[in-house]
Amino acid sequence: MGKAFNLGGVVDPTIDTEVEHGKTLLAYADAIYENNSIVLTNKREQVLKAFGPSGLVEAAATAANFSMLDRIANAAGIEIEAMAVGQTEDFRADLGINDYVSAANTLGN
Amino acid sequence: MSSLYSHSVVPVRPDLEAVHGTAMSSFSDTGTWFNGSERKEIVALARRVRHREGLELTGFVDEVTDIPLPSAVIELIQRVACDAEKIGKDFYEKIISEGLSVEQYVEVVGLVGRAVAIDTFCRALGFPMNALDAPRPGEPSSMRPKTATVQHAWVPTIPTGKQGGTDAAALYGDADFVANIFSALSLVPKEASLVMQMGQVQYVGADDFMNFEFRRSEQFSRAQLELVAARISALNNCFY
Repeated sequence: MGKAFNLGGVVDPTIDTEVEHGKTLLAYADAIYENNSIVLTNKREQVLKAFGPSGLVEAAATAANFSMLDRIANAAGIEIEAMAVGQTEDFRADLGINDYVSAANTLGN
Repeated sequence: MSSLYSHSVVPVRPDLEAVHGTAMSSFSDTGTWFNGSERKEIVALARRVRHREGLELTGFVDEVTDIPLPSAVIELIQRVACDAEKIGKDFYEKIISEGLSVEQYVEVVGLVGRAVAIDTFCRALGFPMNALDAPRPGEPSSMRPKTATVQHAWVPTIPTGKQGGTDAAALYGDADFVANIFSALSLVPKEASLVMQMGQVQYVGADDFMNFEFRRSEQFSRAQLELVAARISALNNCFY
């Protein structure tokens, strides 16, 4: 059984995700989406310091990937797989995910 | 193939550089429903609207050439590039009612989504944006997979297994299960294939998806990878 992490920290910065260097990664992800190149440079340097060059590239590649997949998911109107609906039920409401426009594709709300 | 990231001070994996190189080249290639000039223009417009939103500032070059595109295409580009989280079925139906075919809708979504991925990668690492190739000549094939049907999305998709026949075999191989995200654009198999290739290299390959110890970098764990993925998806308000 793997270590459990607190997903609440993904949507609420006051919650500790309990992932090592989690705050550094969340701040980097946010900076990629914000319009401030100075902040982004600073956050990138922090990721580089924590994870090294290859870790930085993996973080950037992951951000790139979900920038693509999220757009496709939202624009194609896909449902999440039936097996995942039940697995995610316990935390979706807590995280506010059920309120997203794209939730309607699966939940029909 | 030219090296996209030879200027980088951090080492970019060769497979990542290669898949981005393939994607960059594809933007100016003849597509299934748009020609090379139109595809390049779609990507250039997506970059312009994102630049106007304040993103991807590093080395931005406006490559829009003002070739005519239907207004529905332009509206779709804007929405997918900047406000995809606000796309509901009503928007999809509106765009289709304005004369865009579902196949064209899917091709635009794929082009913009893939372009945003590469531009996001460059922005995240402080790289200048990659220049687009000159459009290559050719007529769109207009090949629609015969088996595509509405299943798990607004848009028709190719079913897996026997139901998908040769269309499924060509796109999915012998996989019995394909995540909905990877079949989402299968109405335009070339787009779906390129999305799958990028997904496997930028994130985690299908064979390693359930391997929670998987890591490409010794310093970057699967949990850390998933944290970035989750935060980006939260920023994009993506339920999936």
